[in-house]
Amino acid sequence: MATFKNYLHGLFVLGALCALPAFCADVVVVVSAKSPVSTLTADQVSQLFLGKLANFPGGGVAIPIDQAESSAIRDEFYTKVTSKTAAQIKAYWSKLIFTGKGQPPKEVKSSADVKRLVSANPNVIGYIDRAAVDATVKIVWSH
Amino acid sequence: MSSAWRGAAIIAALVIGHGSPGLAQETPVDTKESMFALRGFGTLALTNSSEKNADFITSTYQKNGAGYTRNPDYGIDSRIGLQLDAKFTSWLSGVIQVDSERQFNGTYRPNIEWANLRFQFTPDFSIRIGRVALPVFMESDSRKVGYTNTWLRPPVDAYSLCPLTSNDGVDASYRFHMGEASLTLQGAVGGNSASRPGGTWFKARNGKLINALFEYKDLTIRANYVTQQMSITGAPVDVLFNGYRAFAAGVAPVEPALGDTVLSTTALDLAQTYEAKDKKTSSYGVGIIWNPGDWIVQGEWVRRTSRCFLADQTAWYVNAGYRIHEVTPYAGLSAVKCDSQTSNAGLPTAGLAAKLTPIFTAMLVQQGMPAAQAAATATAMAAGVVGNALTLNGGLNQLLGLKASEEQHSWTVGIRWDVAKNIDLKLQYDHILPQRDSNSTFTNVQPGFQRNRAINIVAAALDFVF
Repeated sequence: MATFKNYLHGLFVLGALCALPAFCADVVVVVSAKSPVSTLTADQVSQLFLGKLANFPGGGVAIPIDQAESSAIRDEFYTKVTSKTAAQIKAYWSKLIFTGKGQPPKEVKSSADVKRLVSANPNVIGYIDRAAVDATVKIVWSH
Repeated sequence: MSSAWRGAAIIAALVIGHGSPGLAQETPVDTKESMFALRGFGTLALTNSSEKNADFITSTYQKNGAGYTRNPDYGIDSRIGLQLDAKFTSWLSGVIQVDSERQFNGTYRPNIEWANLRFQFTPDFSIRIGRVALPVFMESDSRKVGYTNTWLRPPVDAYSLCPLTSNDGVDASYRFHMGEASLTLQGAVGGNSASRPGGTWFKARNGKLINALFEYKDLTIRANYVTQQMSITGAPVDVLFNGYRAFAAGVAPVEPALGDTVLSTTALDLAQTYEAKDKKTSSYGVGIIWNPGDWIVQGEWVRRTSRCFLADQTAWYVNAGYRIHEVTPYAGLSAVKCDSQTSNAGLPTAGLAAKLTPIFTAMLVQQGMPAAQAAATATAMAAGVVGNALTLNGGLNQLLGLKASEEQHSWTVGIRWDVAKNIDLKLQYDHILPQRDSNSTFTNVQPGFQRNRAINIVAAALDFVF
């Protein structure tokens, strides 16, 4: 009985959190609808966004685009794809930046901005809220 | 060096002259970001030592530190750095990094840490021209950016091993992909020089470096080899080796009469063997990082050899941390030991006075000095020569003794707390065990310093990046 109550309580908490988009944005990774890339693994997405891989599997330069540093969707994306927290990602890029080994992806303000860049250039890869997906982009990874 | 620069200039001219054939092609993405990015990092720290008769320093470039000169010290773990990145085109970028930290002369005069142009020929192949950190250790190039590391400072035992930390020259890097694994090969040529406390000047020429980095998922393995022609000059060492040469010239006229005692040859040999004038200095090492999720485990082993008075040393460390939300406790072990001779018999002085006295007497009598006066003068002259030889031998052994003077073992515990996305706080305790009567990695050692006694260092730091 107690277990059942805990279960219900858990569901309630989950529901309450999901009511806040910040906690339950369903992040998806997208490329241009014109891109030949059809699907990517979490590991491939992680390598592209961490600068460890410069090309899409099968060719073509990949240009990853980040969302704003403090945005919830960015935190969720990195947690799901790289299993690293925002602070760990910050430390990772700081190391590459201050040792001249690399620069983090360029940053834009919103899912709409990501979509605009992705749809205009088949090399660009970004992550947006599933709700923002339309015919100009193609989902290549989702949780 | 100059041919390397010429080669680089030719490459640069070809690249710039012909647009960008074969370079990393990408359609520009207009995110309205500037071509330039100005960023910075820093550490504010307080460091306390339990040893009041010596200074704990975190780099051999620091003139003084915590313990004897001041305690706690605010400057040996603190620094600030500014970096300007410029991305001129998709294939050409530049970086300048300027750091301010305690220098060899006790000032905080800013130093250019990085200054290079990078030609990105393909996403996996680049060439840099200019100044880069000399990657003797795995974290050599990020050791100053506290925020990027778990520890408060890299293990002093190991990271003090290399006397020069930058390379001015050319380096090329190529990354191979093998499924999910990658292998990055880096080669560099160049040189560098730097002033050190105590009036010495280090200069490296004909530097060559090869570095291999293997990455697979949570595992990073690295191996490297560096070789340079090292010169160390300045009053403290010049006096000694010039002294040996002057001694050789001085005794040369009486040498034929000494029979099998070869003073001048020995003196010249000693100067030749130990003086650091374009002497080959090499280091090689391996390192590993394992970083699955919340664990970070890291270890390195590095050995340095040198054909001069500089020590042959071996250093290693292991460090492990475990992340619990925003807090990462960590612990480590490290050690440095000396592998080369720390003494030399020097010039033979046994029975030398007795051999020299009759030779000098005969010379003086021949020059017309009365026999009794000649004998007394000759005895004094012989004693003078022996005295000089003993002084030189003493100086040499003091210098060689410094070889052992960095022997120590340490263990470390600490905690890192990520208080914000770009700020951390750290607290670290080091228990240092100096070995073999050495000064360990301490400096400004005072007469009251007790040998082979454990020393405790406690430091608190705030690291930030912006």
